[in-house]
This record gives sequence, C-alpha cells and structure tokens, in this order.
Amino acid sequence: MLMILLALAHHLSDAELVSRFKEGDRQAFSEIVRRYQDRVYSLALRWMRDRHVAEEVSQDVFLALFRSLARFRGDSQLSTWIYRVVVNHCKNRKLYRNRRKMDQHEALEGERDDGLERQIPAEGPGTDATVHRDEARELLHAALDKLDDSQREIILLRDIQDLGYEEISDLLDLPRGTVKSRLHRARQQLATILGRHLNTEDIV
Amino acid sequence: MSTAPADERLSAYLDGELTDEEVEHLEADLARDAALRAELKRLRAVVRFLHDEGPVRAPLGFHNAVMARIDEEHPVRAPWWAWLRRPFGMPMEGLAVAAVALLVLAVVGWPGGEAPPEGEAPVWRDVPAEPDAAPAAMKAPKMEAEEAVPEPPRPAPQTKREASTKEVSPEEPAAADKGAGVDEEPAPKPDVTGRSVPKGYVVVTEDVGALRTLLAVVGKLGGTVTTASGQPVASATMASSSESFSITMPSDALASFESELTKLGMLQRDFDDKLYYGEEVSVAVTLQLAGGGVGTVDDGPPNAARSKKAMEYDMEQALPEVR
Repeated sequence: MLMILLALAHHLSDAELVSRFKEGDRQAFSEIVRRYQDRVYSLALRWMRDRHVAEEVSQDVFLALFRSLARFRGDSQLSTWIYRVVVNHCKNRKLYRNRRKMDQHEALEGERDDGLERQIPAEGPGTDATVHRDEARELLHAALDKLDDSQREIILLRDIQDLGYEEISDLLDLPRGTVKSRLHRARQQLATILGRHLNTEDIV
Repeated sequence: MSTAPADERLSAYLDGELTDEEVEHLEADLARDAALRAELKRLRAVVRFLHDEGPVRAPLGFHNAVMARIDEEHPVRAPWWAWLRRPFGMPMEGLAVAAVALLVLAVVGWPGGEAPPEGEAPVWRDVPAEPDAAPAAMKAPKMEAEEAVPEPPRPAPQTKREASTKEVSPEEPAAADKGAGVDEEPAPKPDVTGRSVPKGYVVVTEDVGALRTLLAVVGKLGGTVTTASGQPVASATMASSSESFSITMPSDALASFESELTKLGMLQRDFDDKLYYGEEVSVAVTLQLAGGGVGTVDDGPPNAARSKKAMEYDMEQALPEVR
C-alpha cells in the first residue's frame, strides 16, 4: 500500500503536490523533498563550497518551504520559488559568514583568501595539458570565487543548474536582457581567469 | 565584429536562446570574423568546463533528516480518539483507568496547594503523549510529550480556535538566516542526524494569560500569528491540544519582542539575534504548560498558582516573496 502511495505521489505534478500539501497531506511535502533534494543540495554546495554547510542550508531551505508552502499561490513555478529560497539562504549565510569573519578577523572554513593563486599550480611542465577532473573542479571553484556574487549566481544557475534565461530572470527578478548580458560577462571573466587552463584544442 | 552586443549573442547562441533570425545573422558574422569565432570557441570551452562539474546528489539520509526536523518542529496533532489506542495496545484498560482517575478527581477535588510534578500532561493539550512515536534521541527533553504524538494522515483540525481567512502577507526575500554552522551555534542540541538544532527563546512563566499577552504584543509590534499549518490565529482561545505557532514580525521589532517576553517570565536566551538582520523574521513558538489541568487561556487553567508555562521559540528563515 505504501509503495502504491509513493508511486502515485511520484507521478503527481508539482502543482498537484502543492495542492495536496495545502489540504494537509504531509506525504505530498515528503515527495517534494524527494524530488528537489538533489537540486537544492547541488546549488547550495556549489554556492557554499562546504558539504556540511550545504547540507545545513539545504535542510533549512526545506524547513522554510514547509512553513510557507501553504501561502504559495502558484504564480510562478514551484521550482523557481524553491531556487529563490536556496539563493536567498545561501546569500544570507555567506553574508553572515563574511560579517563574522570581519568581526573576528579569522579565516572561516571554506573561505580561500588567496583563491586562485593557491589553487592553480605554478607554471611548469604539463600545466597546459588537460587537467585531472578533481583538479579541474578545484580550479573551477577557485575561479568562481573570483567572480562577484551577481556573476557567480548567474553562472551557477545557468551553467551548473541548467536553468533557462526566463526562469533565471523570474528567479532573480532581472530583465531577460540583463540575464543575457550578465551571463556573458561572467563567462568572459571566467575565461580570462581560467586562461591557459581552458582546453580549446578539440573545440570546433 | 566582436562588439559588445555581438558578444552577448555568443553566449545566447551557446544556450540556444537566440531566435532563428538572430542565429542566421550571427552565423553569417561568424563566417567572416575570425576573432568572433575565437571568442565563441573560448566561451564554449568555459561552458564545457562548467558542465564537466557533473551532477551532485544529496547526502544519504538527507530526505529522512529533513522530514525528522519537520516532524520535530511541526508535530502533527493526533485526533482526540487516538489516545484510546494507546498506550501499548491497552485501549479499554487505559480508558478505564482514565475514567476512574477523572471520577476520583471530581469527587475529591484537585489536591490543593502543591503544584503537580513538572512533566505531567501539559495544559494546552487533551491528547496524551505516545512515548514510542518518534525516536527519542532526536527530541529535546522538554519536547518529548508533544513530539511523541503520532502523525495522522492529515493535520488535525484547529479545534476551539478562531481562525480568520485573512491571507498572510508574503515575506520579503530571505533576509534572516538561522546561523552559519555548528561553530556558530551556542550549545548546539544534537538530533538523530548529529546536526545541531538551534534553539530560540525559552520563557518560563506563571502568567496564565501568556498567549493573550503574546498575541497583544505581536499585534502591537506589527506581526502576525499563524498555526503550524499556516492558519491565522486571531484569538487567545486556545485549544488544549494546540500549542505551536509561527509569529512573523518586522525584524527591527525583535528586541522589543524579546523585552516583552522577558516580562512574561524568566527568559533564557539561546540564540544570537545578530543572525536576524532581515526585514522580517518568523518565529516558531511552542506554548507548553508543565503542570496543572486542562483548559484554555481564555478560561484560565483550573489552578493557576500551580501552573507553569514554557515557551520555546525556534527561528525560521525569512522567505522570499511567495508568488
């Protein structure tokens, strides 16, 4: 019986799940968590750069959603709203962390003051070759850290979370043209930061 | 030809966000502009680099941890008849014992003077606790009775409570954050996942009209009170089985709110209010009476002198505008 209920919930649309939740069906929210947990955690992890903090933020996001989902009117997609909650939580967490850092004059976990300089190996044999995946990930994260927040968020949403321009526009309350230009500038900036570490050999 | 507008077209081109006509024009430009082609190649390498990140999955047990926290913060009330099935499959025996106890109480009267031991049935509920409904490890001692209530398929109706239909105004983009990690939480309380669960305020008061006072304070400070299921609370008439509320108020009123809470009784601070710097904060409030009989705030507990209430506040995240 439980399996049947789970299977039914699995095939419900987001709107139907929200509707059921508003009627008091807690199982509907459970399905929402199941459906969005990877996307929420993924974005939080890329934003916070710390697995523990990302998990905390992700849990807090779902708790906050639970408290407010009854007021969700459905004018935008549920996914957009959830992403907006994630973005706001991540921004606030970073802001708070930075404030603490300034207050206490101490480096906090996950922060890298020397950023890219520490991550990118010095000039030497083999550095122009394709880098190992883990190393590439570190390179990318360090490069993303070099972007300002507005550029980084748009890169994360478009190139890592794979959201469309319209959804990003809705999520960040930005005109579509701004999304387009900001994304382009962010990619250009990343290309400049990554420089020779970008492998363009096999790109047509 | 790699002017700024053309450059922006390149990113949109890679994303498939250009119209057919725009694609046609850009491809014509690319055919005759080597610098533009080089720029496209560079951008394509960036995008591929980003896509190489690959998918990330939530940690094992994440779903369960979230639902456990929800159950902890928003326990679902059991229907009034549920206690007949408890405890431990002795429905009729339990009913008989309860009936006898009530008769004795009615005949003899409430024992005067002494307060019942702390931890007895809270005044705000008429549903006894079920000890085995949730893992004990995740419960704070003070919450055990409340959280042990089993979860029915749907939340129980908000009995004996006036609930207006006014829609709660949406909150502004998240401006408050609960905390920034274990190292920032004073005296973290571990739950089953080993994570820290930040606590809010704890107020222990002898004031039997605490809820009425609380509603007045929140109203004065421009806040709203809703039940855990989102129903507005407009009256201090409190069902004995309900004691969880969410209060939303301007964050700049937090200090005043705290001050008013202090007047209600002994206030124990257990969070850093520097965390809450947004325009609004939402506060989950649990009213709990550690001893005494049953009743409502409006009626007043039957033995006020023996009663002790405890409020627990857990901070919520402010949410973006609900659309």
